[in-house]
Amino acid sequence: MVIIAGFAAAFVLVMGDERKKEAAIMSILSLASFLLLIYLLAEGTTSDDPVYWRSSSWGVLGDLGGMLFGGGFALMLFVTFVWIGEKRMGVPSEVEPLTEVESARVKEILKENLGEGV
Amino acid sequence: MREGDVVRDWRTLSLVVLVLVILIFIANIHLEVRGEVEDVDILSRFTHSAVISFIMVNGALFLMTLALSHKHAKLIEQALGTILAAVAGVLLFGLFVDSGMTVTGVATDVWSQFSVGGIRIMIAGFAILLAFGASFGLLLTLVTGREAPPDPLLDLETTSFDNEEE
Repeated sequence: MVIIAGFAAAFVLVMGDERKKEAAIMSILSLASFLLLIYLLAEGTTSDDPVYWRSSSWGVLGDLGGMLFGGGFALMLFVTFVWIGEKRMGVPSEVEPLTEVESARVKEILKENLGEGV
Repeated sequence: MREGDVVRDWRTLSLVVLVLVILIFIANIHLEVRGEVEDVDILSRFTHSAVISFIMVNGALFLMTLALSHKHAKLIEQALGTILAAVAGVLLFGLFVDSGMTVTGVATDVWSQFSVGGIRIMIAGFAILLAFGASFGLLLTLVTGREAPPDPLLDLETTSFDNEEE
């Protein structure tokens, strides 16, 4: 919430159109989430002590970093596979021109559907 | 503020995200008293999370490739690449666990390590989605709710494109 609300505040500013009120609200949201995080790390909750929150906070930072790294690497690899596939794809062969019969049939269909203007 | 500079905009957004991540790290370090925090083993959590995310993303992309395939699509590189990458990820994960790089607080067998890691990743993923929904939902409400000057295009009359002879 801290990062995403902060991202939203910056995003709304770069959107332009003087959206200062929206940016201020998003910044307040980000700041409030950050203060809440500091409170949890310093004071804990009634059910869990601060040590628990600090430990889980560190653990989750490791999880998030790993998620971004592993997921990002997988996506980059996928883009590479698509690129290799595109590179290996041969040039399509030339399309044969229509025969007299096919050409007459196409003209007939166009005439039926588009009226006399064709 | 000049509008339309894409590089500057992305630089601003990246900088804000980076500063907030650093602030969260500082908050963690500042409030930590040496020896007080339980042994989290952040490196193992990072490695497990990275490998499991790699497997999950490659698996999902493989399924999507299968779903999109048809007789004219040439998707062999994509399909083969994603499934092989997922299998390589599984083997690497097994190697890590067998060599003793395990996450603390979970049974040391491969399946327990994988399933708990997967659940942790899914919870973090849902938390990210929830934060995105809440922040950008609120932002959308704020942006659409504000009063805008009347659009001059709305005053224009509509033109009939029907053929007048018919």
